[in-house]
Amino acid sequence: MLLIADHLSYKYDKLNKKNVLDDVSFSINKGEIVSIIGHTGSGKSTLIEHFNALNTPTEGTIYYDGKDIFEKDYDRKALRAKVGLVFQYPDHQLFEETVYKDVCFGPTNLGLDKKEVELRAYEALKKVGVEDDLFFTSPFELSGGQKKKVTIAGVLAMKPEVLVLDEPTAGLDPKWREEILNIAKRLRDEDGVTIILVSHSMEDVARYSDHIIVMDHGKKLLDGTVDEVFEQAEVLREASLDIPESTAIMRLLRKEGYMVNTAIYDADSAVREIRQKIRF
Amino acid sequence: MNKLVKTQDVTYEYVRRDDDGNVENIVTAVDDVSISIEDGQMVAIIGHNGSGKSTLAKHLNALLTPTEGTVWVDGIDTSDESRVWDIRQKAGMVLQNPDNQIVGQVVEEDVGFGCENLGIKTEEIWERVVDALKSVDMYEYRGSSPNKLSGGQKQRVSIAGIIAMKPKCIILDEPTAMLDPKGRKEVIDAITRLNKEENVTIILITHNMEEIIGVDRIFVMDKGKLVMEGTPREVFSEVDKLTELGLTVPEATLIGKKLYDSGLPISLPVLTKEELVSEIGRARLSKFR
Ligand SMILES: Nc1ncnc2c1ncn2[C@@H]1O[C@H](COP(=O)(O)OP(=O)(O)OP(=O)(O)O)[C@@H](O)[C@H]1O
Ligand SMILES: Nc1ncnc2c1ncn2[C@@H]1O[C@H](COP(=O)(O)OP(=O)(O)O)[C@@H](O)[C@H]1O
Ligand SMILES: [Mg+2]
Ligand SMILES: [Mg+2]
Repeated sequence: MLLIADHLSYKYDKLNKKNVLDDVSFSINKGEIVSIIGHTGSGKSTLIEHFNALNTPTEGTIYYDGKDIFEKDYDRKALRAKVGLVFQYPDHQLFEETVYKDVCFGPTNLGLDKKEVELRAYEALKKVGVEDDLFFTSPFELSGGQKKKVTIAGVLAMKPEVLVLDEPTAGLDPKWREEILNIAKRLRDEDGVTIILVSHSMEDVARYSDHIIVMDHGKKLLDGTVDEVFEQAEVLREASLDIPESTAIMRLLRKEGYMVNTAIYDADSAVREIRQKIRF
Repeated sequence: MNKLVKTQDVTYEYVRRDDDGNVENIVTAVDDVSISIEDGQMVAIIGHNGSGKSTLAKHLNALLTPTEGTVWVDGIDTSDESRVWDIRQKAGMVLQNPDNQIVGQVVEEDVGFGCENLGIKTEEIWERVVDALKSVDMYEYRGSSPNKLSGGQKQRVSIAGIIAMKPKCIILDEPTAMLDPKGRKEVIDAITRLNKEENVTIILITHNMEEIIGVDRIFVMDKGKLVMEGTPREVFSEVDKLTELGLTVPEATLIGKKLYDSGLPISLPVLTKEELVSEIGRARLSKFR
């Protein structure tokens, strides 16, 4: 197990009675794609900001690679190079004069030489589909989706062991939403990078994860495989979430008496299942 | 019908200059776009990242004025500087990032802020604030500090702030991008209700195709140009063209199309889950006959 949250509790304000995170425990294996879902305000962003020690728990702790990251002499700076966090709001992460400089910032901080930094920045920008002619414009002159891509490139350029993406596809157009998720999947498949994905898209989560953690009002509500989690349609709806559209369509068919499998998460599988199980 | 919003051959260029004032770079973000939106319509604008949606939207409440061409809002030419505040009262805008829109220290104060600027009586403001907060399901947070809310909660507060000003038209630039499924549905339901019951014209920019199945009209942008326009049924018939534009269609539409391509007699396009299920039923019967 690469990352363990052990009875984690957190509050922003010590005087507050209510915990923003309340006794949360789970573990994440190396090379997994894990999604964290939950209503807005359920504590997802607060939770993942513990993974590289930006937030310090009020109770409990996090183990990374077997070590307690909140121990006094743990090297948290080194941890931040290993656990790369892409923030939810690009404006919080972008600050350099040009797109290119912005992406160079992370790798420069790792102490890499200039040539390596520039190579990595170039590769990362290309990977997320930022066109050359945007490299030297100010990040603040980009459209919403373009900004999002630049922040992802900034973290990719650091080549982290764990890539934590806070709502990476929010604001991306359909083509790039899929593209970004495929990039994450390829990083996992080819380089063994562990991916932690926070998302409000049930479709994305269902298609790409090995394992899903569901948060609700600061508590862990569910923790299981894609099938286990999306079986619980009612529990999810209670928690302001939902099931993927394809799954909902299969459930509707089932209700109409067609004996189709409902653990279906994309259009192609839905079509295959319908053609196989329904006699036309 | 009355054209509430109309653009005629609108082009907008972002011009970057160096320190000496020489032009360094020009981006044509909107390229010769003519659209008209009728009073009381609910329309959607879709398109790839950087296609010019937000730039076009900013023309509709005079945040930007065209480099070339003309924009009218309720008959007022937006380049008439003396009318800017009339226009902004008629057309309210909810922007992509909620953080840039929150001004108050307390949620209810923030929501009332726009109304205060309009010079509305305090008593009426409170009534409007209560209604607006309830309509986005944020009433219980009325006393909270906005900067302590999570992203999705903030977005609902900014929508309430616009709703409270009772504009003729609301332009929403990806208002649901940061919301959970329930929040997304609440926002779409709330703006649909405003449109149907109070005849507020709604202009919705989104990347989520499921959200716009019920709108009156969809405008499709590509590299600054308007490339398609029509009802959801018309636009979503063109699955291949939309895919080429980097876009997609609702899941039921996609499954319907793929079933049709596999040889089933499905009538296209299918828009909703319910339609898909009944089309599958029909396809079965038609083979038995
Ligand atoms: N302030 C600015 N200065 C210079 N160029 C800009 C500015 N804002 C946007 N642009 C450029 O104008 C083009 C259109 O951007 P716009 O924000 O309108 O796109 P959009 O369709 O809203 O995209 P998204 O879906 O990503 O929000 C892009 O090429 C973008 O880089
Ligand atoms: N900087 C902050 N200060 C105080 N409270 C905060 C702060 N950020 C978030 N919160 C509160 O913590 C809770 C969880 O928020 P967040 O982690 O952003 O949720 P999510 O990412 O799941 O939407 C919310 O109730 C929010 O109001
Ligand atoms: Mg968050
Ligand atoms: Mg935009």
